[in-house]
Amino acid sequence: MSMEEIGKLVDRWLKDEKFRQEVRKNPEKTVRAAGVNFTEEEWKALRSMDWNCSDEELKTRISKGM
Amino acid sequence: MALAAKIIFSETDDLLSPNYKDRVFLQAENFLKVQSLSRSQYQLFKCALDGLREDFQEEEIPPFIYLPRLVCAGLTGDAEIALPLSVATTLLFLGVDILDDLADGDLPSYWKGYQTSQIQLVSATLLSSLPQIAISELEVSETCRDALQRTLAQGLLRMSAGQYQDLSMNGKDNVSSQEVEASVAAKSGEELALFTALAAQFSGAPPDLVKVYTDMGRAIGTAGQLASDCYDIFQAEKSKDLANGTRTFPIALYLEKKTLEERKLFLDLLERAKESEGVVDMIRATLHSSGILRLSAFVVEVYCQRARTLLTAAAPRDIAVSGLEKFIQKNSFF
Repeated sequence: MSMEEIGKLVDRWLKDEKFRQEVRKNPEKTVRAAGVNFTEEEWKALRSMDWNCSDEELKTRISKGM
Repeated sequence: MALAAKIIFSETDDLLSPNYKDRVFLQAENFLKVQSLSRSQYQLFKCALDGLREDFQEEEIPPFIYLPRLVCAGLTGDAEIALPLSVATTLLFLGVDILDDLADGDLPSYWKGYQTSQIQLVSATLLSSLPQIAISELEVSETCRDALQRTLAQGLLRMSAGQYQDLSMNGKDNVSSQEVEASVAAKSGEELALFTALAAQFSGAPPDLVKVYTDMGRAIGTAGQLASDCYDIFQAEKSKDLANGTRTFPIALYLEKKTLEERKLFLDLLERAKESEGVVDMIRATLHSSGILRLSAFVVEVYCQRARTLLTAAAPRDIAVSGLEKFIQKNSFF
């Protein structure tokens, strides 16, 4: 996994509220436009996520893990 | 078509039945009884095994029990052959679990009355002796048995390196998310990789297919631990990681994007969180409002996606597919 590329997403996500809103509307297009070079696996993961659910709802979906 | 689907579901359902968990624990108990060299040694092992059984009473499908079964069924169509291997992986998990609890200073109450040195001894024996004996008793060719013992030894070596990496990050000021991710993959990822690798070798899979199952186990284990780290910080009633000063993935991700001054302030909060519940709540609120949870969920999802791709490449028999998918989906937030 390329933490450097994920780092670019983290950077924008943490600092830019408008970027967050755009990602929620159109994740792939917005992240591509930000110049992030993900692998196919990472794009698939990005597409399989529900970016519209609230942070509160996301919290309730966390698995306890193994 | 509908009937076929129903039959497959019912067979898969059986693969994850609670009855198998009970049988594995019973067989493990008998194994410990036979192998123990004294009654007091058996009592010590039994305390550990009963504790594990109690801890996993609510957990429907512990991976150390069911992953070997699903892999064996996926490769051979026969789920029953996995039982003695599941006993070996259960003993192995137990040894790692106790060692983890000792390292975290987080021993469960059933160890009350035992000395730390006695508990260390149980863990050491579970890691260095009992799974190896269980594997030596498997009905396989000599070549296969040698390969299984080597896989076990190499897996333990990798997990040891991961644990060392994990311990050395505790309380550190400048831990990167990449370092944390690597340590999770080396520790928790390797543990599940070991279970799936052993099961694939035991089932007679060729080396390239063993590698696919090994990588799938590693991806599931890494996703599981990263999800568990998120659960501890965002959902658990009490955060053990914040109380212990453990630098888990969400914390590392948050810290590395902060300025020096902001980092200093947050590190100070992390230090104070060891003593104060109020500070823990503050940290949780800060992390929650930062959006770090969604980014952590993304990283978990990448590992889930990797596991799905590897599952497709492994092409197991139908009987095991939905069970393996369940293990992957269990970690996903979506």
